[in-house]
Amino acid sequence: MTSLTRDVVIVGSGIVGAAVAAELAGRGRDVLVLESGELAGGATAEGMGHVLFLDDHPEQSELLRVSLERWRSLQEELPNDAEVDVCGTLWVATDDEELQGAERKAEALGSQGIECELISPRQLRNLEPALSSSVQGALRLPKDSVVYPPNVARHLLKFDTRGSGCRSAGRIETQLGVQVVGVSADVSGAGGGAGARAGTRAGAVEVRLRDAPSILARDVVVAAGIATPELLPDCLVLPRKGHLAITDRYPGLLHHQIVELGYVKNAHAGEGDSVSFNVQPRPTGQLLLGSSRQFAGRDRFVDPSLVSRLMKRILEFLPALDRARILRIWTGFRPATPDDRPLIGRWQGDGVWVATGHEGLGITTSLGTAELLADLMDGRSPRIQPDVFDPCRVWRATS
Amino acid sequence: MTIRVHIDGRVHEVEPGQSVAAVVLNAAGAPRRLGVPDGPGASGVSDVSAAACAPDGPGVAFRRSANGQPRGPICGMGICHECRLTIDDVPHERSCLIECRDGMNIRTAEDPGDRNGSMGDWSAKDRSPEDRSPEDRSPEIGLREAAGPISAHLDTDVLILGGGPAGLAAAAALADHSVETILIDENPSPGGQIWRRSVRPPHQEDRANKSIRSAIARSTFLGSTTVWDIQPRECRAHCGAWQGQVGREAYLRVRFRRVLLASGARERFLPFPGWTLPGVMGVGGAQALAKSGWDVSGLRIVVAGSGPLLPAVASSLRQRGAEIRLLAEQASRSNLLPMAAALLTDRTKLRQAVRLRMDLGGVRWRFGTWPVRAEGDGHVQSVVMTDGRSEWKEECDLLAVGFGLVPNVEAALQLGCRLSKRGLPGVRREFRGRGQGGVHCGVQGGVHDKVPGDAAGVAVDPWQETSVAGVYAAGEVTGVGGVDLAEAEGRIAGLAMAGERAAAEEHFQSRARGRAFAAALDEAFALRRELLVPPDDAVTICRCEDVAFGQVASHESWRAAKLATRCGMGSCQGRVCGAALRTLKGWIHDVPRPPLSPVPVGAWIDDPEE
Repeated sequence: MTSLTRDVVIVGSGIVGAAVAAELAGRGRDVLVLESGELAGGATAEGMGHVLFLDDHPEQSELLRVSLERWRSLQEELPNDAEVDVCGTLWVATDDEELQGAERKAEALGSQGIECELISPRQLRNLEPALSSSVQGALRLPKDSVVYPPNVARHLLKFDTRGSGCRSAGRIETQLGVQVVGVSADVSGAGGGAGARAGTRAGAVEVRLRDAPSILARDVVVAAGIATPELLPDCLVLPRKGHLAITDRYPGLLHHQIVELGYVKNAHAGEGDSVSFNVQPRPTGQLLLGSSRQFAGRDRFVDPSLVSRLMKRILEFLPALDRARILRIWTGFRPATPDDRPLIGRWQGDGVWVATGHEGLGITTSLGTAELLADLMDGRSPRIQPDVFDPCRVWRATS
Repeated sequence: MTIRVHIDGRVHEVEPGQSVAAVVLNAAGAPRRLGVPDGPGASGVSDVSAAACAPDGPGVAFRRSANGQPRGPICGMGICHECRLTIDDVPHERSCLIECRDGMNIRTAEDPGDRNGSMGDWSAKDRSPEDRSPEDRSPEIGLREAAGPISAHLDTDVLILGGGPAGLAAAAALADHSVETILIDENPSPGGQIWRRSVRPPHQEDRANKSIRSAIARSTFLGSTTVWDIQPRECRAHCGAWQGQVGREAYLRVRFRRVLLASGARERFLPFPGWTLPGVMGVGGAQALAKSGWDVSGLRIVVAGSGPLLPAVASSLRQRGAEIRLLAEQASRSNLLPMAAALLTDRTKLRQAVRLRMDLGGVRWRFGTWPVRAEGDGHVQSVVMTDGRSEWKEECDLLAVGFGLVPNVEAALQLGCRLSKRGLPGVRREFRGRGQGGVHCGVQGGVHDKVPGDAAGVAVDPWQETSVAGVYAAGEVTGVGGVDLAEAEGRIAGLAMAGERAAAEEHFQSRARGRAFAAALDEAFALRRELLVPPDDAVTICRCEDVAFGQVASHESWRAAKLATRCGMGSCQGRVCGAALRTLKGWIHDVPRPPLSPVPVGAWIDDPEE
């Protein structure tokens, strides 16, 4: 029934699975990544690819800080097709309330050592002449960047021992078109609950595959995004649907990623559908236009009425885009959790780990997630406080 | 009457009805007409310097590609997006679809004001926004006057997409039975590619005019109108015309009860070294541009590729004064024998064939011959041909090359229709809910089959209805078969939609004949093995994004290649490279994301009252 014995199996080749794979390999583990579809073809490919600091999740600020620190060094080595652009973020305010919000935010960020500056309407005209004059000011975070996440994931999975700086670096093997149908801990029955450290445990984890023999592994990391509940039925990850559009090439039209300050307010205003202004200039000169949030099942249908709302919102901020041509509109699903925090850590049973549920911040926080999870797997005490991310909280909540 | 347009700042007098692409080609001239001596022919080697070739006027580069290569039109019918120009300050206009208007300001890639251009140094990672030059900062996308869009909601029983022979025949049949119909086409005038409005009357003038008149007199024809989204759930099509096409935006929402897809076919282009040079274009593309006013007289043309279109176009270009240097069909003579036999059973077709052969008297016509690479400095100057045994060079000003046609199935895929090779059984109906009078199109978004690849058309039942109830298809979109078959299918579809099944059945025989002939053509013009060999890794496969074949070759699927390399992600949305990769790699279609054609942001905004 079972065949190979593997050191680590990671289910999912998205940015989170890839980051965890690179991290573990850097620490000497041999990693097998299993992907049922295209490489990094899920939420990683469907989203915007922003690497940015958000201060609206205080309990995640450490995860963000560590992630951004690691992004800065990763960006140095990324190939051109990862499309790294350190364009900075402009959080734009449309009224006094948002302007005051921006000032408070500037202060809070400053105290955390995050580089930022308040931008007057006049400076704004110069920085982004295409913005509507109704914009009252902005907060600029110059170190934020945008990337093309599928090729970042591809790069992370190309990990090799040269240049890793790790004496006992491991390997990464990626297999595409492999569908995992279940993961069960401690199949030998010999293991005991105690040790989470690799090597101290006798049990193995069984990874059951469709149309192929199971794989036994010492550790299994489920980083399968919205497909996670299919493998771990109690692991509550919800698909939060979003719409995005990309335009033809208009080089030089925008210079920053621009987000409305109302974004977080809109994004988390209850369970209803919401749209927010969030636009990125891509290195090709194309503009990526977003975004919407809704719980609407897993139907990929592009909803014209929601697109209409979204485009209206965008034109309020960027009236010049009225005639910009849209090449494509698509939908995707963010892996969301009931309390808006990712699931990072040990699942029920030894050797089963979870890293998912990052919703819209997965690109940014993938690298910190990898560090945290690897620390937990190593039995080291992590830099990032792990308790708030303990995945078992969703299991407890539902059972 | 002439009108005046500005091309890169110079005034040109043109005829009304000429397309912008045609007048830009005319203004650029071709090397030969600028006094470059006539080449010595097949044996000669061109030593014409770049300077001697540099045309006076706007040059031959309509646009610059992502990597800065010069590009010109290839498809001539709105598919490839290579003819994009800046027109009246609006970038990315498909110049082949737009007729000249008095005072029009046209800018090519040769003009510094053109903004269709390359990404330049925009990808520089380390530059902060302050470092970017002021020229980078223009906030305008064009069009200063804010006329405001015209918005309208229309309602119809039957919506027909495509005003070629199939759509026209259906419209006429529907009109005969007083069924309300709206017929939409992206071209300014009805007739499709075969009966494209021409400055000089086409060959089939009488038949075409009769068919067009009969349909158009009794139904609503919307020309220069692009359908960019069809919502099966709401039985609603979003379409419109925007700046350039008609001089002002008009966004329309059409509600329909049933829809007929008659969106025709496009040429299949297979990549080879040099195929991106301006002056290498499709066979149908050259024909379409000539019909819309491009003066090909005096041009030395090599016509190559495959299919019955080759001699037809060669003859037509010759009548317009071009010199056909070589007519090269890739299929071998022996392969064509069964088709010749099929011709003998059809007197009209036989007569056409004989007539064509006479028109092409004196033209070098080779079988089992195909292009290996095109060469030239900024513009095609010669093409290396082979017959599998030896290679030789042909000098030319234009290489017209196309490897048959592939159906335009994108709207059908968006509607959830199944595809098949024509004649294959197994069209199943899964989408129910068809009531007495109306039709409920109940497609579940995202649930689509993997469909067969190369040249597959929309699968239809005997009444031309697709796997989605209420959605019909007729003509080349169901599989390429020519004008007679398209008309028969269009008539059947129209009559069936009008509830006249008995009358529709009268055309079954002619449809069966058409399909048999189409099958014979398929067989005869099957691509030879040598053409299915993937090109060199360095050859560009995706013209929109400048992706080389080597970059995509190692990927396991179309989507994987798109994700990793941007192949198929540009303006044409994989219409050109997707068809080539279906042929070369067997990759299957995926369901195209909306819109069906690039559309302004403003078009998506619904009226509040709706």
